[in-house]
Amino acid sequence: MLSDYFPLLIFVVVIVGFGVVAIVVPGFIGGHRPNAAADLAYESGIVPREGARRRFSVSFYLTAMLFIIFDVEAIFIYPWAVILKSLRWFGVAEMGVFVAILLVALIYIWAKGALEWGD
Amino acid sequence: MIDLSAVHIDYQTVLPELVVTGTIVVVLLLDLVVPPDRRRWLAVVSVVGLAIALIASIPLWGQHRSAFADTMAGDSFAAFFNVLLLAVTILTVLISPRYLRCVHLDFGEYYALVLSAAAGMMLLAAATSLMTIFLGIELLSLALYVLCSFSRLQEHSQESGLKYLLLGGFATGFLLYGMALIYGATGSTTLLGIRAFVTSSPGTNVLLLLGIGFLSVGLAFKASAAPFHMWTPDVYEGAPTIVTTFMSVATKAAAFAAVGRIFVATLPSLEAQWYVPLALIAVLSMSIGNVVAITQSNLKRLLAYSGIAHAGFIFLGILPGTTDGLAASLFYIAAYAAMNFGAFAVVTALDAKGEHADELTYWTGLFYRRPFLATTMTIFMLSLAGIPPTVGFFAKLFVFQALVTAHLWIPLIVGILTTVISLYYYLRVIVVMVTVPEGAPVEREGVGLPMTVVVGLSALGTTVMGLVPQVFGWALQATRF
Amino acid sequence: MSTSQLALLILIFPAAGALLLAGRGWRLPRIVTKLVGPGVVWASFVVTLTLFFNNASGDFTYWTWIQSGSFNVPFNILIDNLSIFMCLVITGVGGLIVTYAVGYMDKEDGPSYARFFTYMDVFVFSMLLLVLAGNFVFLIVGWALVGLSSYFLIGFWYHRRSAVLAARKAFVMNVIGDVGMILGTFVVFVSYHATTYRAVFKALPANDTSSLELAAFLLLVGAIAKSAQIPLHTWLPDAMEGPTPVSALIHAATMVTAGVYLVGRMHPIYDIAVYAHGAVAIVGAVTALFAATIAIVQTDIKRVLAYSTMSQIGYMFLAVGIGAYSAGFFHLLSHAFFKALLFMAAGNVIHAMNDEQDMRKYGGLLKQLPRTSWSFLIGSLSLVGVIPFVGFFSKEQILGAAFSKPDASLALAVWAFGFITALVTGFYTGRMWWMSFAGKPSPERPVEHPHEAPSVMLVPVFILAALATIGGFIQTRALGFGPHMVDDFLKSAVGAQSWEGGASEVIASLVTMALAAVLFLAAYRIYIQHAWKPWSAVVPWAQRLLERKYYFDELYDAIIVRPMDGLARGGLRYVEDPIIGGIVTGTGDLAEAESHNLSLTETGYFRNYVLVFVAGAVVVAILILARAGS
Repeated sequence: MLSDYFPLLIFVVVIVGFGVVAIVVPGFIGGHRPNAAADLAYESGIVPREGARRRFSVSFYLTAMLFIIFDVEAIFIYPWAVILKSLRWFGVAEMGVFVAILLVALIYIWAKGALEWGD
Repeated sequence: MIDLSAVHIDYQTVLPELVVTGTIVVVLLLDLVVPPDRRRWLAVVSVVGLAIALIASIPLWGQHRSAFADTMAGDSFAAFFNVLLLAVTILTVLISPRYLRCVHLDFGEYYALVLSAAAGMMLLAAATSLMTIFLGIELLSLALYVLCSFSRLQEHSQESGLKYLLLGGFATGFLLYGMALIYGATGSTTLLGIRAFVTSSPGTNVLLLLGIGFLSVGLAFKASAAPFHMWTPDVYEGAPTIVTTFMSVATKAAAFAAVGRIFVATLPSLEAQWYVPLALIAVLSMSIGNVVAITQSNLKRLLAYSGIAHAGFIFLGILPGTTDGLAASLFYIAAYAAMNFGAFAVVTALDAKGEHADELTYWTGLFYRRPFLATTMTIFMLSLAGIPPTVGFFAKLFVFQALVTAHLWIPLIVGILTTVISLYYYLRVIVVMVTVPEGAPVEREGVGLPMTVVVGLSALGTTVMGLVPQVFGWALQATRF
Repeated sequence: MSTSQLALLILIFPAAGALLLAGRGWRLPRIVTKLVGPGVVWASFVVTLTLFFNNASGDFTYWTWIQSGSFNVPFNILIDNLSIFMCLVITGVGGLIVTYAVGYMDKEDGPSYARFFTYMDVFVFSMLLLVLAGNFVFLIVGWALVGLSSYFLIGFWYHRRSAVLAARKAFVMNVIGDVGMILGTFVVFVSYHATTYRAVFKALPANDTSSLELAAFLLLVGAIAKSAQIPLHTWLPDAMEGPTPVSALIHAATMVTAGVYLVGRMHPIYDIAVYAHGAVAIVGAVTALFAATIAIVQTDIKRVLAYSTMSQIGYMFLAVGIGAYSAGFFHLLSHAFFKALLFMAAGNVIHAMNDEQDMRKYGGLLKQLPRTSWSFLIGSLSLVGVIPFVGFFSKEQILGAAFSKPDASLALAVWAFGFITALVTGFYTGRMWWMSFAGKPSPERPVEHPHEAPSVMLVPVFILAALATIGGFIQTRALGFGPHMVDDFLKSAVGAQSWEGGASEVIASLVTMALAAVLFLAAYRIYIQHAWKPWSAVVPWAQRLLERKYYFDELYDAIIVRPMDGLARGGLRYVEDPIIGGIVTGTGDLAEAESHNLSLTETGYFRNYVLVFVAGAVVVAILILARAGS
């Protein structure tokens, strides 16, 4: 019963352990020599030109939300793919409906201009 | 090879929901091609779709289907609520185009959202699994959050939507927590499984009880029952009146469908345990709703408190934990749908003129300006107050009868006392309407044929439903799970 | 159409008419009101005729209204010869009267005009519901509705204080009757567990029981109040404040006879409950004489007719009280003819006299209003009971039945009352007719040269005059031979009279008629020729007694109204204001204050809402856990 969850426990331990190790251990083994360049925000090696707290176009959030929505929907396809063979044509048809609805949503947001950046 | 037969894929059970969902997609696409001045056609398409769904619901009557691994039921109970919810939605859509044009909110999304909410409510009424219940609640809630803030340029509407969203999120948290606890305790998400667990292991299970408690909190929120009612007046007042009309009736009905399925159909054996909190919710709702309504000067807020009070009355029928009591609640819901929808529809009709009709002072002398609306409003008020021979009287009678049969005296006494208090503010609306106005009479103006028909139908339903005993018979049959 | 649909149609027509007039009446042209008002009554009449000629009968259940355990109230209509008979009277005579009203009420302005016909149609609907109902509950509904519409119509001129007071009095008296009816129905239901006539009559015991007597007496209270019999009669004379067509329709032809209908409809009960049945006869006999004597001294022409109505209904009660049901209903029919005729003819006179109702101020109208005068004479002779008018046959049949009922001292006693009443009737009717129409015009007459009424008001009067003249030949049983159509028709519904009259009965009838006719003429000697000293000068105390109407109003005032007033005043001062008022207004104030306080919690702040929400959830959790722990 509970032993079924044992792999889960290992999983949790590994994740937490990795995070803790990654943050704590460099403090011990790395040096600590502060200078202006080292205190800069790390942006993949690119030097930041201004503060991070500035206003973004609302289209940014819109696009981000749309991305996430479609992204999450896509996840549904993974478990479906796993058992597609045993579902046969029924599975194909069901997924067809699912994708068709997503398609309608896509057409809708497209036609409404949600994907335009605008002025 | 997976054996799908164990899942019971049964399209007839979900046919009404499927039809509504299909209509949503059609309406959404149509909105892209229909020119703005022809948006009336969206309403027509919606009504057609809803009507088909309504017809598709009728074959479910008298059946005992269970589909999708016991997560959905196709039975009389679902059919009863489908018909009720679809009828309310059809009436709403009928009076929408004129109102939306008048307040410059004539957008196609409105219809898609109303249909989504309706689909969610129907799903909720048919749901027999914690998962589908949650799905239904979320579907209807998300659509309603948007609808409440549909009037984008009005701060009130935005505030309404935001408050509903935030508090709704809160309630959903409790609901989910409750569901998780129940699942943890019983190991099942279907109501059938939970029922089987409860009957097979009669001992006290704290986790299960706590889960039931939180579940009732979440559902009471949706039904706007005290003390989880705080959002109601603000949201009802701020939302566009047509949305208030819809949600005040339909959401409550759907929420009580779930309450009925969970408490009466699944957990009657635990009645001794859930009785006290539910009775508290009922008593508080009736008291707070009826008392606070007295001092309201805004009709939408007044009706909001009245709605809270009626939620309490509907809960009364649940308390005995019997199907006969639930039938009384069902009848009450149908009665409430007719009279409250009518009352809000009258407010909508007046609101459509761009006048601020929700302030009670505006209603002074309405009899002399709009005799039809004032007369029907009088009928609705009398019915809400529970005056015979309107359906409101019979609804209260049946609920009280259920309490008498179960010897539940305290809720009964509170119910009767608060009914007396409620007379005060319902009759005040009538008094205001017959008061002779000062100044020159305002010119009479029509409210349009659909509105006249819808208000007339509601008034007719309010007057005759109590006199036709078949309706209560239907309620009785709908509760034979 | 099937009989059940036709039966429903009888009710639907007046209801639809009333709805139309109430909803749109004042906005539609006046001609619509003129057509719809009487039209729907005539439509019902036609439907009733269809049922009549088809020999329709049956008990039709349309739907079940209330179903609660053993308490089961269907909406059912009972069609039998009695209800068809009543419907014929209501819609036939009613149709004539409503048509007459088209002319009589013409002075009213548009809304008021439509309102009048709305009320009239409501009344006709209620009365039809009363007689068509197939169970006690709908009987009471109709019973109460006729009381209500009577209230509306008596107080039709609501700006007149006297009319409003009269309406209130009538309503209160009627409600006393309604309470009796409702209690009686309770007793019936408790004893026999049914509300439909059919089921109740089937369940009746073979022998008298106290509960049956109780039910019969309680129902009798309702009958007495509605039919203005002693002691609940005082409202009827006051009800003459209403427009004259109302007096003709409600307070002569139809509503006031509802009591007779009730006893007839309940005859299976009264046949067993012998004491209550005897009480019916006694009440009728006493009222007949009592009201007739008061009529002698009245000076208002409509009040004379009102007391005469009470007196004639007393005859009907007498008849049904001794078991001569069909005789009573024959008199109901005949009375509807001649009393409606008298009222409408009186209405014509009042119309011509600028609403003056005092007979002393008339005089000498015979030459100026010949048609009305002659019609009135026909009505009067019918009322007196002179051959060949309809009143003779119906009244003498009642008296004959009472006279010849074997082995019944009660019947003989009530016959004596009826006999004296017939003589008094001859006298007061003579006085009324001679004073109004014969002799010289009174110096106080308001109109010097009156005009006859328009034809819409004359034609119904003529029709009724014709019916009053020849109507009696459908049943000449009082003479011992000839047709007896009414008896035959009603036999299936109320049973046949169980005894046969003899030759002595016919002789008694003829003697009665002769004496009454003599007294009719004697009135001429007294009031026109002044040849004889008026009786009032001989016995002035009797005159006073009658003028004060046997002090009934004063008696009620002293034993009911004033003590109640005192009680109410005392109650107001010592109970209502400090205690009840304190509690009620206190509760109201408290509720309002509490309402205010509670609405303060509705701050609009999200954080407060969440706080309440969480607190609620915690309370729910605690309650559940406490329950689980215990």
